[in-house]
Amino acid sequence: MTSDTFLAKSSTNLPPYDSGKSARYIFLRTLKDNFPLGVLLFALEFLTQPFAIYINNIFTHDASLGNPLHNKWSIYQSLRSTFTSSIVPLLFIIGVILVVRILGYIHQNVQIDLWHSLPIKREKLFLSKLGGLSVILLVPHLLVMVWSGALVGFTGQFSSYAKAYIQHWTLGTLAVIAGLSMLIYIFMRFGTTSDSIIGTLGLFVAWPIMVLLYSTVMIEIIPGITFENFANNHLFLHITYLFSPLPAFWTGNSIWPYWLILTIICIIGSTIAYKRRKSEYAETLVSSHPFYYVLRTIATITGGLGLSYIMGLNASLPSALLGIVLGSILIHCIVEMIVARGVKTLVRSLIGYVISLVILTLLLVAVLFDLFGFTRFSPTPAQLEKVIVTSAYWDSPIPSIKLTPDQDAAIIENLNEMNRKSINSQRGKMGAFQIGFTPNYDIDDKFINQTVDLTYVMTDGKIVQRQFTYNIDLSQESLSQVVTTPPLKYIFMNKEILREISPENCQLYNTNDYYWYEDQSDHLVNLSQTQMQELLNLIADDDLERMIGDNPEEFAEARSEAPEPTIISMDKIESTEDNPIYTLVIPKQNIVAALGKYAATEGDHDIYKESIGEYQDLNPDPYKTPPWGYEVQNENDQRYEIYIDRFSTQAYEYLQAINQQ
Amino acid sequence: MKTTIPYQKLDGNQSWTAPVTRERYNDDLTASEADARIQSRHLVKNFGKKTALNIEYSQILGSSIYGLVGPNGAGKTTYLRTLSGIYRPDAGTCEMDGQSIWENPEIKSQILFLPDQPAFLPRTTLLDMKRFYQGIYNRFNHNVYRELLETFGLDEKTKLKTFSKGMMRQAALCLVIAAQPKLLLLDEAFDGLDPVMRRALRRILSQLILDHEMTVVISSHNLRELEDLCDYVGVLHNGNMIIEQDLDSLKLGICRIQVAWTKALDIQQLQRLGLNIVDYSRQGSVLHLIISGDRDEITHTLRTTNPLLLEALPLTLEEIFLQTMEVNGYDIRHILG
Repeated sequence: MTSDTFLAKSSTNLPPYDSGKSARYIFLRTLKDNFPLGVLLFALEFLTQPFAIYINNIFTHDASLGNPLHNKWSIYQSLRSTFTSSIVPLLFIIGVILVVRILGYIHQNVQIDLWHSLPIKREKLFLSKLGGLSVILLVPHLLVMVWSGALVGFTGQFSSYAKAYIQHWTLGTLAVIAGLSMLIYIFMRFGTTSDSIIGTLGLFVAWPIMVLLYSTVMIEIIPGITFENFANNHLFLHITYLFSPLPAFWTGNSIWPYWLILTIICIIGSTIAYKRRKSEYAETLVSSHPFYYVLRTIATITGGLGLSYIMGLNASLPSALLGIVLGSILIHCIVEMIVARGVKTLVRSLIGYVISLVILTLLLVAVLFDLFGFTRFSPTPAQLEKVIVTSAYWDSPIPSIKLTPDQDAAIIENLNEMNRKSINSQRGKMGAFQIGFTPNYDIDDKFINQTVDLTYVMTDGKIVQRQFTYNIDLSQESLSQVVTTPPLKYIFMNKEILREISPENCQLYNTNDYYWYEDQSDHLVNLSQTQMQELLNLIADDDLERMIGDNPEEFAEARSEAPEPTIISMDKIESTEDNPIYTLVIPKQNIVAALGKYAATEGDHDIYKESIGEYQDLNPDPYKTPPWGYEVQNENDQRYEIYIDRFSTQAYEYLQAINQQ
Repeated sequence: MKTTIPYQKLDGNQSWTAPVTRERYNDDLTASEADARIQSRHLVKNFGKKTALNIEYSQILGSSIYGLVGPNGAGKTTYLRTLSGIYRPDAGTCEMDGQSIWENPEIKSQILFLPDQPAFLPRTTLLDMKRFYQGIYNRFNHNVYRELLETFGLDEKTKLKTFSKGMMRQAALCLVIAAQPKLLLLDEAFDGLDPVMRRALRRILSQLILDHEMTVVISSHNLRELEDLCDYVGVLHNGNMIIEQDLDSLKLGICRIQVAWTKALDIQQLQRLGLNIVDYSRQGSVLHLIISGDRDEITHTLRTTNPLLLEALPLTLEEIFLQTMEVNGYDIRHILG
């Protein structure tokens, strides 16, 4: 080496240092280093959506389904479902990998020496890397969306399907971006990558599980409360959605303006946190971080609720309490040992455990005494616009009925009184409900439809839902006062519907084989119409029960899997060759026809659907919803299954097309 | 049989044990503040409750090699990381050419830090890293890089993770030297290099200072390496800069004396003569003294006692360092083996 070489460069006049050039270089370098992941993301998304749909279309194309509207709808449905179930998780996972790859250096002392000695301001360095991350993640994702959108849009003119898909895509993408932004912020706050991931999981997973468990405990203990009360209105669940964009998206609770704001806040917060972050924070443990204390408390409460739920459900108070203590201490110690990388801090952390236990106890006391006031709800006629009474069984053929204060004030009051009695019958000492996690009813009745959803539509526009199951004693005492109208009679005593059914529409199947419904013809039992009528009468009169035996819990459950909509089975009766089990299959349209005159309007039914969390996304016009659109048949005897759900607008359009053929 | 009395520790001279202050600096160091390229004032860096660095005053002159010496945990790496802008000082200032280093890209573009464990981008080759440095540092000199590559005999297309520790250090040296910084910070620079490469590095560093007016700061435990290389030395102990001096002054400021008399004098008698005795031992009738101060003045004073034997010997940097640290109650012999 000669000194001439060194001198040569030192005599050159160099331009002043430009940190912007360095930032651009780091941005491009980030793109280059992570390009393969971008390609992988594109390939996986492409295989999941455009390619899969194309292949699926080839192999499942049915000439009889040649209606382009139908195809477009199928493509839309496929895009929508694969986006929700596959693309969103995939995007999030690749995003997490990118965050770890691109920003993981802040958790490594050696890498910190390299990056933080560079002549570039911290925020510029961070934003350059974040820019690279965003491009690698979003450009392939956007390309696939355009391609997929084109699949829908170019099959005809740009229609509401393509628009709906883009809306859905935007919501899902925003949810992922919001989730990743939170991860990035946590990354900036924690000392190690593993702690950051644990922290994020704690926030995304532990909190929703805790809320779910707590809601479940409430449902089990407090009479009348159903999950829908939490799905629609409950504060805890809304907080969950605030913390967890992906579950919010998956459950149809998209709040895109919030996600947008959350993303902006997280990115600004991350930039500030990064700028202030000390380099020496790398590789330090998080066990003394306040944020960690919150997460540990949530995890501890979740553990206590979880194990007490497992041990205490249908059991006694002592086992439930044992589950609380064991579950919470177990999770507390595991979390503490993982985060502190050892047992050194375990004893000291017991103070935190005691605090968690106190919070958990208070939460349970709040449930036992219903401090949230769920059971105090009993609207006066003046507060009510109407009550929609619906069989709680999800596939019940019985339509909802409507009670109005003007016409049915006495019935509503009787219902409320019956509910109050049901609630009070379950109170123990000091008015507390039982902690044994027993069901909120003690039913020994043979008909499923005695569990009823009550949808209270209030004059101020609020909708409150309650669910009660009336036991046989209660019904004997007061049911006669309540059941004064035919619709209510059908709701509470569904066996009466059997009297309305024409025997020629009934078929009887032998259900010895569990898979009978896959090949029904082999299991069909031939009965004459007279015999069938006799059978129906026997069931309706309960004579069949007497004939079959002394202890059947018959008519337990309608089978949703059956090709015909409604089945009343006797599946708990032991079957022998001499005494075979029969399942009575009753065509649903007959039931609907028999009860149609009592049915609530579609609008009423739609309110009920909304109250249990449906119709969130597309908000279809309820009056366009095909009535009970389970199954339709066109003039060429082609049958299609259509379900009333969030796609009901599309279902309606499709039905219109079929009707016009 | 000759009896040996081990070295006795005396109360250290205040000028040796107290942290370097601005006032003291003017007395100790011949260079003026105007020549200082790097200046640290009241510099404090805490890690939690522990104070890792507490430097009252320190300065590093331009176009020189500054040796940063201290036992493990003294704060050498922390100081280098602060100088390179990786660590933000909790208090005080750290400046280069009168400008704060922290979050100052213009200044940081002239500083390169080679840590004890060189950092590279994951899964890269030396060629990738060269492109990275070229993208960031506009002074990067391809020719220098090529020559260093040949000197060290490295293959730039091999994955860096397959390199040995020494090769990684050589690779990192190629990069940071080719980036031609004004201030080069080397943490344990000679660690992992074989003797040939060490010699080559010394030559390169000397040449860089000559050709580029570069300032080099080297931290090392290997005091012999620094002795022949450094112009200045700073000794860190428990985060305090207890010595900062040019090497010649340092060596001249303390000496070893062998002295014998027909009638032996005791230490108190010698101290009454005004001698600043740091340490002493006795071998038979010969007294071995380590005395702080000007060598000529010391020998002149001792001659007044009419010794039979009087011999003044220079101390190596390692001996000076050992003495200094021992005076501060630090078992440096154990650290250095």
